[in-house]
Amino acid sequence: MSNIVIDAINLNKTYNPDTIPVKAIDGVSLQMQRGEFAALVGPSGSGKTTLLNLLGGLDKPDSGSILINGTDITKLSENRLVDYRLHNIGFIFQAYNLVPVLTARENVEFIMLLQNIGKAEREQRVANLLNQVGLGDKMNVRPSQLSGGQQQRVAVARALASKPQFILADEPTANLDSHSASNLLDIMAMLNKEENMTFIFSTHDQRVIERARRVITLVDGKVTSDTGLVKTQPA
Amino acid sequence: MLFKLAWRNLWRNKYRTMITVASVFFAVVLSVLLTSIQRGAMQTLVKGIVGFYSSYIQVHKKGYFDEQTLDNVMELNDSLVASIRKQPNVTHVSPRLETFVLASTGESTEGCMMVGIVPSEEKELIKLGSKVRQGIYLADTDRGVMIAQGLAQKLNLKLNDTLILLGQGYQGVTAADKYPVKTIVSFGSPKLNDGLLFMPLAQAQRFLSAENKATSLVVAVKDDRLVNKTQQEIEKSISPAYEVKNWQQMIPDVVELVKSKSSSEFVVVLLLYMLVAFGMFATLLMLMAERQFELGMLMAIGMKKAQLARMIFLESVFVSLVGCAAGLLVSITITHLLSAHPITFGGEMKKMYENMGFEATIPTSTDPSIYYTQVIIIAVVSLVLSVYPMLKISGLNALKAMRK
Repeated sequence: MSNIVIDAINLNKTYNPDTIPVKAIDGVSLQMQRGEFAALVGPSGSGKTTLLNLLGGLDKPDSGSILINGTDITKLSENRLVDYRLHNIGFIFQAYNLVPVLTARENVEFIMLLQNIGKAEREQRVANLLNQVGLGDKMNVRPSQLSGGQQQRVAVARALASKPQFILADEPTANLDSHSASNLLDIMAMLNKEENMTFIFSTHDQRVIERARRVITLVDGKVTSDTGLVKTQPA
Repeated sequence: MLFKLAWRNLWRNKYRTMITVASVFFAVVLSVLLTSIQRGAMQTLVKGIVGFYSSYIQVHKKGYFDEQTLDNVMELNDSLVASIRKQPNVTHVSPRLETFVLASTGESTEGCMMVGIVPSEEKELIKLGSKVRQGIYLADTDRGVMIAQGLAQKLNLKLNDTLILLGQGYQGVTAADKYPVKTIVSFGSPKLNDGLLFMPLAQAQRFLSAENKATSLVVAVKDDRLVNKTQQEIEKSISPAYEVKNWQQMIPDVVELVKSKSSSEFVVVLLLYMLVAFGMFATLLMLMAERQFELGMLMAIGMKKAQLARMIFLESVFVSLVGCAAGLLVSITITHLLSAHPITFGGEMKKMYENMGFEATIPTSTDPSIYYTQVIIIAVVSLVLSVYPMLKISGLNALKAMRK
């Protein structure tokens, strides 16, 4: 079985094509292998978030294709794409975006409920995930009672709950203090190492860039540099 | 989980939810009370008018209703009465023989409706005994007349005065006789009070030379809501030589009055629910605007539009359910309390009502249809309003929603 999880081929995306066209992604092609810990970097407006949205199936390119484990997600209908995201892609957002009326446990469990996973498996997996991100004692606490760092860790657990092919994280440390950011990166690095989970970040944060094992730089929608996969795991 | 999510979402903005629930609650309570009082008043009015004289059902010889003359009398027979009596909803069957006569005393003469009745039956049927103001209530075999108060006044009659009656009997024979005034009765309706005269049936039959004949069989029922069904059952069980009329056919102007009152009740209830619908719609508008981002995020992580729509729908169902259930609980309690212990008028109002022949109370109806109608209306309002979030969600784009 191929180790390539994502194969994006010649992606193009232009916003406002009829008024003031903005070329957000310009002929980007890249491949991601299982177990990568990669950062998409670049100045504001360089196309990081757009590329992340395209890879996550939240947006469609004007041209090009995105093969995820061989399936071209640009060809999927809206409903199938939602299903595809649910089963294959984990999301971590800059502003955590947990469901405010659900507890940490319920937020993580919610994804598995959407996947129709049985109760016993759900409960066991929720406990494992929240313990892994160090929130075993905060299971029944709502997001409003958690710190930003803790909320982001719940978001990581939620992203992992569906056993996705890879996790897309849009500036995950942007709202965190350095201690929380470092803590979160440790957890993600640990999950990457122990579970071979693929993480792709869009970030400005130097701390994330330093921990990444592959750094892809975008400028004006084009990949200007790509360090490629560094085989060694970070310490 | 959708239920849990929808329920908890409601309490994110406690005050807004409470205001929406309260608007449904008050609409249900006001609507139930309004309908219950209006229907109660109508039922009392109908019961009063029907109970004063016509009763709910009458059986005549075919053609009598259109041409009410003694030529159309029917022969009384036990099997006919027994067939009517055996209907489960029928409580009383009593023959009447009625015709217009001239009533005269001294210098005064008045035209009036003379009704031959079985006094012992009519005591139950139209509560004639309770309408006695002076004198004794006649027995079935007594000789004498019971005269309505207004007519007695017009003829300047007192108890035990002699009244001369002159009319046309069966097959055109002249009917003339004199009778002592044994009873003065009073009716709420001026029309009845100024023109009615009762006498025992046997005496009336002799007076009109109509032995063993009657113009109608008056039928009383247990449950007035089953009048039409009972009418049909009677029709089926007796010969087609007879006609069976219900009170709506006999007093169509009362039916028109009930209809016009129901229309005004409908308009008020409609306005009330339109106000509530606007309130609920405003809540839905705010809810959809406030939660664009969240709905987009839920779609991004894998929630389908149908699931989102179900969640929002459940939220509006919960609001409606809570408001409706609380409203029904309170309004059922109030209407049942008012029905068991009606508010009674005092003073002049009381006198006025009693003179009209009505009880001086505010009657309330506890007909179950009043309650379940509210549930149906609220359900329809919720369903119609849920079209808006469904449309919004069907056009939702996760990314655009999250950008907003």
